[in-house]
Order: sequence, then C-alpha cells, then structure tokens
Amino acid sequence: MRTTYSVRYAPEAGYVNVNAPGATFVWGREGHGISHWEAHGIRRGPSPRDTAGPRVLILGDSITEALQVGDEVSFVSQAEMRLRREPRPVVLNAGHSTFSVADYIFHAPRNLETFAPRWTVVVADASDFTYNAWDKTKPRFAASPDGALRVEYVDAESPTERRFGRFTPFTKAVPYAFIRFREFRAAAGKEPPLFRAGRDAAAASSATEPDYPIEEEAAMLGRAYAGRLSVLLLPKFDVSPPFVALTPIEQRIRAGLLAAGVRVVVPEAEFRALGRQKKCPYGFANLVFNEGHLNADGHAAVAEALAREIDDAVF
Amino acid sequence: MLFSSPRFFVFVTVLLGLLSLPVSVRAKKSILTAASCLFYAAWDYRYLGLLALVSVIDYVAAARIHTAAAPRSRRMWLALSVASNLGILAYFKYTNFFLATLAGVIGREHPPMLEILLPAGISFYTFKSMSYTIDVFRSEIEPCASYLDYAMFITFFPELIAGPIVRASVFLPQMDRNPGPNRSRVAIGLSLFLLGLAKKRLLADRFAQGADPIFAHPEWFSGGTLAAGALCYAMQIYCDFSGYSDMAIGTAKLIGYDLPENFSAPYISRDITEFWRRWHITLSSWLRDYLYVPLGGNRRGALRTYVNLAATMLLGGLWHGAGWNFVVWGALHGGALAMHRFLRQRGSTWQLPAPVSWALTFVFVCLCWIPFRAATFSTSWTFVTRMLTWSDGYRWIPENTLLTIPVALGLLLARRLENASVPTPRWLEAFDAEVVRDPVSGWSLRLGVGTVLGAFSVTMLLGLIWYFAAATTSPFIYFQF
Repeated sequence: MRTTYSVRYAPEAGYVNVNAPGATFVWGREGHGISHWEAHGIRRGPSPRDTAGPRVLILGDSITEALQVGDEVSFVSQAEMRLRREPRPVVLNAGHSTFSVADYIFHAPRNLETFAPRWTVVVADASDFTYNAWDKTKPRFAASPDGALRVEYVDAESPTERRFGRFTPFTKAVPYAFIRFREFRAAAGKEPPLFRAGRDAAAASSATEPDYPIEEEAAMLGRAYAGRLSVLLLPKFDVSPPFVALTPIEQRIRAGLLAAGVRVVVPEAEFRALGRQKKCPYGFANLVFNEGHLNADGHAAVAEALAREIDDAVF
Repeated sequence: MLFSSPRFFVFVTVLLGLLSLPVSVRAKKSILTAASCLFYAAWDYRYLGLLALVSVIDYVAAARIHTAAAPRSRRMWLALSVASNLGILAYFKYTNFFLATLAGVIGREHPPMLEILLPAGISFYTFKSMSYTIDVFRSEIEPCASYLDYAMFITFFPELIAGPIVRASVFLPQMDRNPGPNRSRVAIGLSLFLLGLAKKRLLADRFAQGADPIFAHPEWFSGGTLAAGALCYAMQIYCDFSGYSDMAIGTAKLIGYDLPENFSAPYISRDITEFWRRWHITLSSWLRDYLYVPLGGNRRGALRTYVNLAATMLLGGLWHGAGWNFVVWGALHGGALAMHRFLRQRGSTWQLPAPVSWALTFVFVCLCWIPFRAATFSTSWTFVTRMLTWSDGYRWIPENTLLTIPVALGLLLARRLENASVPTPRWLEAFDAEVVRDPVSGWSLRLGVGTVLGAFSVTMLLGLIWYFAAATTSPFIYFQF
C-alpha cells in the first residue's frame, strides 16, 4: 500500500513532469516498486556501467517507466545486463507514463540532441498507435488542412496539478486527495442513470473503430529517428495456448513499421515460454490478474527480447 | 442508487433536511414514504406498482383477519395473503428456473424462457409483508391503524432492497416516533453507517478484486490460488452484507428507527448451529419461525426434525436464487445442521478442542460458499475438484487476501466485547468512541460527533475511506436476491 507522490519534478520543455535528478518514487498501487531517477527523466540503470559505450535510448509509456518494479527488475535494466557484444551499450530508460507514438515523434529532436543515441527502441502496444495517439487531452496526431498527418502539442497538466505540484515534497496528501476525487468522479459518472426501466442498455457501442492511418504514423516515426529505430511491440497475453496471437491491428502495425523500414520485435517466444510455465507477463497480486503493467516475469521475458534486438540492431 | 454511491449521500442529506422541518408526524411519514418510493424508483419505477400491489393485498388481508369472527374466514384471508406473496415471488424469481428444469427433465435443449426482470428486493419485501399477516393471524400484533403506516413499513428504504428482514412486530411499535435527526440519532447512525461503508469500500470491494477473476475462470488457476479465492469470497460476502446491514441500520437510526441486528461475528462460530444464529440473523429467524416451526420443528420426533431442518435450509438456499447451486448450498447447510444435531444428541463424546471445532466450521462454511458464488454448477465442480486435488495452474495469490487479518482481529474484538462486563475498551475512549448495546440492533460503535475528539475520529474514518477505498465499487451481493 506504500505509495508516495512526493517526487520532485523538473521542468522540461514539452513534458508535463519529469522526475528530477535524485528523485525517488515509491509505488504500491500496483506492484511494489522503488525507482530512482537521473537527469532528463532517465530511470537509474544497473551499476556499475561503462558510460563510454554507445547509447541506446528506450522510449515508452508507463510499461517502460515501470514504477511497479525496482530499478534492477525493469526490463531496460535487465536487457542492459544481458548484452553480450562489446563495447557494451549504455541503455537509457526514458519511459514516461501516458506517452504514445505522437509524443515520441514530437520529442524526437529533443531526444536526439540530448541523448545522441546510436539506436532508439520504442516500446509500444496497439493502443500507442491508435486511440492513445489520438487522445485530445495530450500530444496527439491530427490531420492538417491539406490532409497530411501532423503532431499537435497539448499541455496536459491540470490547473490543480500546477497549483499543488510545488507543494508535493511537503504535503503528500493534497495532490493525492485530488487524484482520488477524480477517480471517484469518474466512477460516479459510470453509474447508471436514475429512474431507468428495464434491463441496462448493452454497453457495447454501435460506433465503429476509427480507421487510424497506422502506415502514415509508422512512416512518420521512422523518419523522426532517421531510420535508426526499432519498435518492440507488446502483444496481449492469453492464458490459454498458444498464449500469443497478434490481433489484426497488431499485424497491421507490424506490417506498417516494416514497410517504413523500422525494425520490429515481438516477444512472442518469450511470452509463450511463460505461458507454458503457467506464468503471466502482466498483472500483479495486488491489483488485477493478467491486466495492467508488466510484472517481474514479464519484465524478464521482455528484457530477453530487447537484449537480442539491441545486440542485432546496434552492431 | 447504492448506499456507497455519492448520489445516496445527496439523497439522505436532502431527506434529513426535510424531516427536520417543523411539520406533523403524519406529514413526515408521508415524506419518508415518498422518499422510499423515489429510492425504489431509481432502480426501476415500473415495479413500484408491484410493491403497491403487495402492500394493498396484505394491508386489506390483515385488516380482514383481525375483524373476521369465523376461523375459516381468517384462514382464507391468510391463505390469500401467503398465496399472493409466494405467487408473485415464484413468478418473478422462479418461472425460468422451473422452465429450464422441466426442459431438462423432458430432454428439450432450448426451453422457452420468459423475459422477466427480477424486481429489486422482492425476496425481502414479500417475506416482510407475509410476516405481517401471519403475525396478525397469530394475534401477536395489531394490524396497522392506517395504510400510510403500512406503506411506510413496507417501503422503508434503508432495508427495502436487501434487508435486514424487519418484522412488523419490530417496526410497527416504532410508528409513534417523530422521525428526523437529532444529536444522539446522528451520533449512532453516522457511526454505524461509516463503519458499514468502511467494511464495504475498504474490505469487501478489495476482497472482490481477488475473488472475481478466480471464480470467473477456476480452470486457469492452481489449487492454492483457488483456496485463496474461496477465502477472499468468504471475507467479501461477510464484509459486503454485514457492511450493507450496518449502513441500513445506521441510516434507519439517522431517521429515528431501529432495525434488528443481522450479523453477530459469524466466523467465530464453533459449530454450524452457532453459525446460523450469527449469520443473516433476520432470515434465519424468519425461516425458523415461519417455516421450520410450522413444519413441526423438533416436536415430531428425531427423524422428522432432521427432515424439517434439511427442508428449511433447502428452501432457504432457493430463496437466495433460482439455481441448483443455491439448492446445493442450502442442502449442504441443512445436512450439516441435521448432522450436528444428531451428534449433539448422541452425547458429549464428540467434544473437540475449540480451535479445531472453529477451524472445521470455518472451512466447511468457506467450501459451501463455492457453489453459492460460482456462476454454474459445473463451475463449482471444477473449482472444488481442482482445489481439493491441489491442481497445477496459474499461481496468483491476491495480496488482498491479507486483509483477512484485520477482519479476524475485528471478529476477535467482537468476541471479547460479547463477554466483557465493561464493553468499551479504553483505547476506544481515546477516540471519544464507545460500544453501545441496543436491544434491537445489537452491539454498535458510537462516535461522539458533538465533541472535538469525536469529530476528529469521524474525519479520520472518512479520510481512511477516501484514501484507501477502491475507486470503483461493486454492487452489494445481496441486491441480486
């Protein structure tokens, strides 16, 4: 149950919050993890490490940020420990909650200038190319008047967070109370309407899934990182054999990325091995089974696939 | 409108405001009845008519029973009341169950099923209403002086949907009270409500997070995980239903009425008979007085007593839901009650040490919850066989299982309070809280709302709930019955 929001944030252009150098984040709402942060919102990696090696930048959302597990357990750290080729690269974990492909494209100039990576790996799932990348509350894809795809920047920090953020080192309770309020309000919003008659209306919406321009997104992502990019695509895990089967949208993402000259790696073999051992890559004992973020088993499995990809791609 | 939803707080606050107005008792009763109807309409307004029908039939039947001189006439009106209540219950709750069973017997694969929506609280208000006419027939109570009183009794919203099943003999004598909040009612009512809310939001909803995925797919999980799931559900149903009962009793007390105790630390029971004296007390006592005793109780020999016990529990199981899993649950409890009675009457050779008898009772009750919770009979079978054979599968022990520890500590405290001559522990006094014994509602906690210390305690409890409650809440389990 230990969770603290008393991290110190550092301003970074275009970021809502970046954990400040030396900040410690204790997380207990899902999993139990203590994370430490270095400059520019990079999560602490394994130590000791040879900082003279080539840099590999890992971009991703909360799954890569991995607050749920300790520094040494995160798949980025584990992958760095498993690299076999010399000189051993330094793998930088720049995972940031809520980010999607639109963010990685928006931040590409800053990422390339600040970190000068030899290679970049984006860790993503299908949502990062679809609804997450088109969410109007944060940086997102949008169509230009001429029909071309572009990225629009939106500052997602709420006035409350801006007002109370500076107090967080001293008062943990206030910002958390607001977070709880938002959660309760969202839950209340899902209550059925008053004075209804008959059975609840089917939750299924008749609206069809929008046709996202995934191929264009993939091409834009590849161009943003000058083609020196891999995408580690995280599939859903099914508890029954064959455990992993790419959905049509995941297959389309893979094909789009390959067509754009972007390397794609899917940890299918690693997830299947977990399934045979009756282990799930996702979910924690203190929240939901096989849903949510990667657990320790999942991090180990993804680390194996990531290390293989770095060894292949960087050299 | 769940008791734990923000809407309910608005509803109760407005109602208490209206009941504080300087108007007559009759006007307040009208406000209360209208509010109860509004509360029920929030679920499905069409079934308000059914509620009205039940109340009119039983109000008229009781009046005729009271005034009729001939025993035959009295019996006829009673039969009309019982038949109408059971008929309504049978139609809405059991029609499709009987159709499906009949189709199974004659080998039809796709039985004709009717589109019937179960009216909320029907099992509770039909039993409540039946007890009224039966008690009038037995001359244990006088019939209501006015239909308004009876309508208020039947629709009383704190216990309308999921009990406690309040008998007319408990509620009607309180009709002369002037409803509305005052300092002592708020102190005890708010304390009970908050405790119930804490049970629901801090414990039951967390246990549900552990139990739900395991009961949804028992074929996926290892034997150990299934055992943890069964434990989680045992804790969930207790915290959920006793939390609901506390909230219902607390809400009634805020308004100015006393509802009977429904739970008395049931998991500390050392045998199954004691368990049923402590679990869902208002239902078990209803079944005892209106079913077991009329069947002959223990007055017609040993064998008939066992049959009566089994039949009562079987019907008690069926009362919970129209499904064979509930029948199995009732049969298991009925069999255990008969067995316990048999062993008790054989002599004292079966005296087990207290921890052993407690553990046996608790494990048996937990095992019985499996068919009660599982969606189908085959799911129950898969669950039980995989758990008892300690099968291999996904090992996912929900961390929330650890919340069993505070529940156990609470139950131990309850046991200590039961036997204490001075019931309030000194550490509770530090929070300006005291344990009070109410003749109707049983033991409860009262936080001093009028003092700084008491207000601090209430705020602390609210803060705890605010900070640690699961964001989403599940409906109360007994709402489905």
